[in-house]
Amino acid sequence: MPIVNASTNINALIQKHRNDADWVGLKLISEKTTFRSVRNDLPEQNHTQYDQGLRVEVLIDGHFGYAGTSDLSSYGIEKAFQKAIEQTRMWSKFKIHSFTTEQRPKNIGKYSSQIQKPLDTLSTKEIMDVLRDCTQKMNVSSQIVNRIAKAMIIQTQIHSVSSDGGEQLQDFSMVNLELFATANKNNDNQTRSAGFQNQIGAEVFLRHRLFPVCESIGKQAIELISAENCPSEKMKVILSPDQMTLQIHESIGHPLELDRILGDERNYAGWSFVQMEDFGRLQYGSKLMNVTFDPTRYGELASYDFDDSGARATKEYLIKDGVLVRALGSIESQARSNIAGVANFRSASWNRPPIDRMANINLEPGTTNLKDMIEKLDRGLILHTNRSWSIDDYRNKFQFGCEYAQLIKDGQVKKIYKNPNYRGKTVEFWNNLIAVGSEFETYGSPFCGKGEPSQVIRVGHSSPYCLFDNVDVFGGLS
Amino acid sequence: MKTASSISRIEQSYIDVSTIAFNELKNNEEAIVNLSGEESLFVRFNRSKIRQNIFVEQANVTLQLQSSSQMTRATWPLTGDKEIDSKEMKLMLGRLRAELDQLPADPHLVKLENHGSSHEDKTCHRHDEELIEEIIEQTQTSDMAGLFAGGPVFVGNKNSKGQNHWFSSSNFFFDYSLYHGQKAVKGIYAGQSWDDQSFQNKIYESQNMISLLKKPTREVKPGEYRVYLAPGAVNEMLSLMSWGALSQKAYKSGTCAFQKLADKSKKLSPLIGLRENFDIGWTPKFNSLGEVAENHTPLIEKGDLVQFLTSSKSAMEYKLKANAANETESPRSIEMKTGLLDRDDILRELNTGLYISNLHYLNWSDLSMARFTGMTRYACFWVENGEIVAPIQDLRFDESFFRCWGDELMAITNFSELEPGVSTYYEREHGGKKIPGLLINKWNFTL
Repeated sequence: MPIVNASTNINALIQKHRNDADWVGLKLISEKTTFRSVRNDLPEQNHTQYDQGLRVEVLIDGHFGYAGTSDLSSYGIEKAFQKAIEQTRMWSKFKIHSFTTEQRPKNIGKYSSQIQKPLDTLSTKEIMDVLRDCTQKMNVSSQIVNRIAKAMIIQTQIHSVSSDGGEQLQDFSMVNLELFATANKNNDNQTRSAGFQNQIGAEVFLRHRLFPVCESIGKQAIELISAENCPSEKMKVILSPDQMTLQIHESIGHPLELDRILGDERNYAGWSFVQMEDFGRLQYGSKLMNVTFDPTRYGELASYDFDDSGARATKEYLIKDGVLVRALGSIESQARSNIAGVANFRSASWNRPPIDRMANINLEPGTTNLKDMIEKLDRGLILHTNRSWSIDDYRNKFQFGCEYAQLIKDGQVKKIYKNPNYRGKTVEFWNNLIAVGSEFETYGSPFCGKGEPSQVIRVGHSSPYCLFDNVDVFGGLS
Repeated sequence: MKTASSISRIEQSYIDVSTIAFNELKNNEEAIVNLSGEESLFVRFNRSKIRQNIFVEQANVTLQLQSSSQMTRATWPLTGDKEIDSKEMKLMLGRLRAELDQLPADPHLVKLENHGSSHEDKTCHRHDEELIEEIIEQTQTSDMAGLFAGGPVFVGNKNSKGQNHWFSSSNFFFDYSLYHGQKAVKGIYAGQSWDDQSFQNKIYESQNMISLLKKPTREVKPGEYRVYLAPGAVNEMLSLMSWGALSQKAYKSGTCAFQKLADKSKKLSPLIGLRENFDIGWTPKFNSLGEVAENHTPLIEKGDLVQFLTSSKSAMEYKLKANAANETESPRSIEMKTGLLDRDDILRELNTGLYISNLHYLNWSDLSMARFTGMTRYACFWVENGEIVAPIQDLRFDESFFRCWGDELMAITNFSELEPGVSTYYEREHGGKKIPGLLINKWNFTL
């Protein structure tokens, strides 16, 4: 059953227009996104967005150009072809690189998210009831002043065809479920949150899985409003997997994007401290650091079989034993730089051109279990759940804030601190990685922003708990 | 470039589907139909060449259906084809009606009213495709990265009570950076009509500023310094206001950075004034409920919080008066009050410290203390005795609005600059800000 009602036969369209340019590609993207949220037991949002559009891509005189339209009438489609061809022909003389059809590999295949229960099998009422019950479970004290449970439920179909006979059909089922509890005491507010971001089906809405999390964040928000501010000192820090997600994303994922290194992003998100000559040489982190690009891991938010160029996705090491070995560079960026890359040419939708993006960027598990990591710590902090993020446009100097800190002394959790923050420089920080946990957890984000025109993309990150030495930690003023 | 007739095609279809929706309502049902669309040319540049070009035509209609106590919404593409669009509207109405029955009652649901009608058409004919060659020609001696975006944007709002609003505009912007090595000058040339001479002057001004970046870089140690924040830097600070600082709902739910300001346990300098100013004219005055804002809505006056942005939904929940804020209660057309500092006196008054043209990646670091972190970016300089000495290596800061807009605020410029909204996530942004520069006695750099 189609997600959106309009039907467009792109196989017929590609036959009709296959000789309009040196190469022609079409992408029909249909997406249904439903936002449901409950706040303090009451309905807050019920909104379903049906998006559908066609992107026409043409190669003319070595230049790829695009047109995208949501007008799927024959008038709208023909206009998109006309604009893509005219404008690309007009501006090919100003192209930054002369591309060929080698940058559009011909592949044929299908991908589907692996799920247990289709998202459409739950009614609106059933979902809203679960979310309402979640907010009720957060209500552990009269000091809890705000409780939110919200779900972003996404179903996407991407049908790609090309003039050389390539065809891919990819079908995604995704949920971003978030829980927030805010407590207030003496004019101080503290929020604890939890999130689930996966390619998953309706099985995500299981009360027995969600309720303990709701109760836990409610209780921890209450702990925080009576806690002291995090101290300011350099110390050992264990980052939880939900904070590692952000640390990996900002200080590994973005600086390794090859289009940033090539300068495409300099007017918006920024450049990168990583230089072309760093690949194969730069000791990015300690020898415990192994980072992979892995869209083949089912269940993570950015799993797929083919990127927008048609390239088949494979798992690749970006950093091996701490050494930078490969870039997050698409087939176009690889041609421009002669640097080894990955299948990461991705667009937010039919109305944006593909650029170099993260997909699933994971820190591979090590050999230390969390219990041992804590027991061997004389003094340090465990920092949980990101709440603030900022890094410079070269992805070097960062400052991140977390919701909840636990002080470890002599191998035991002694107390809780509020408002923990830490700052550092990317390469120095990762070279202070001194232990990597043996079990990973998976998180992600549907909202990674980049590009001109700007676009958000879905990314997944898996990581174990990790221990870092000599981290510059500080607290709040309140 | 979208022709007037193709906008008319979408507008007519929007009128037709709205009529269908309103005619088919039952008993106590009410409905709003919102439209948002654009026809845009985006050209992305790197090293003064074209990296990518895309032409985008999109229009989306949102139907909000509500009963006396429940509400739901759906958004879908409007094609301009009467037969397709009419069929889709009937289908969506049926879907929403079925969903409405399943929703729990919302005691804070806003009843629809007729908030009147308005029609602002600022579209014009401009040949954006012809500007691309001019951009390349004027910047080919520089290392330029940037984005050109232009074409018509339009917004419509109708409801079943008879309300009817329309806003359309044909603006453009060229948002660029000119690089010298790893240092750059940032510029934006924007408006409704393109003037070759003005554009060339703008680029010439940026190229001249690059000469200052060619001096050896000064590494400034972390610590507290006097700073001048140019309007481009203050723009980033005002963007942070959209993250709950001026929102009634954020205040009531414990996630507002200016809670202590509202509770009067913290103060800002009497020099600080913020208001919504729809006279700027780049965004419609009506919100998604069709409520029309006053031309001027004061938010902070003489350092005191006058009012939060309050949506009708918040007003219902907290029994307050609404001020036509949008649902997210974020500013749409904000203006910061100017002061007395003359442009020619900026460097002299700064004396010794940092001239900061832009900031980057701001985020709250301690919300309840209105404390935020971020980076310096683009053309920032060390100044000694009123003279620019050297460009600096970028610095991280961690500051509180209660300090830098409080006791440490020395002066505000007597001029302001219009900063157009250049966000292009999902669709081109409407709106802009009117922003002066700030002279601040102590600013805390940390890394």
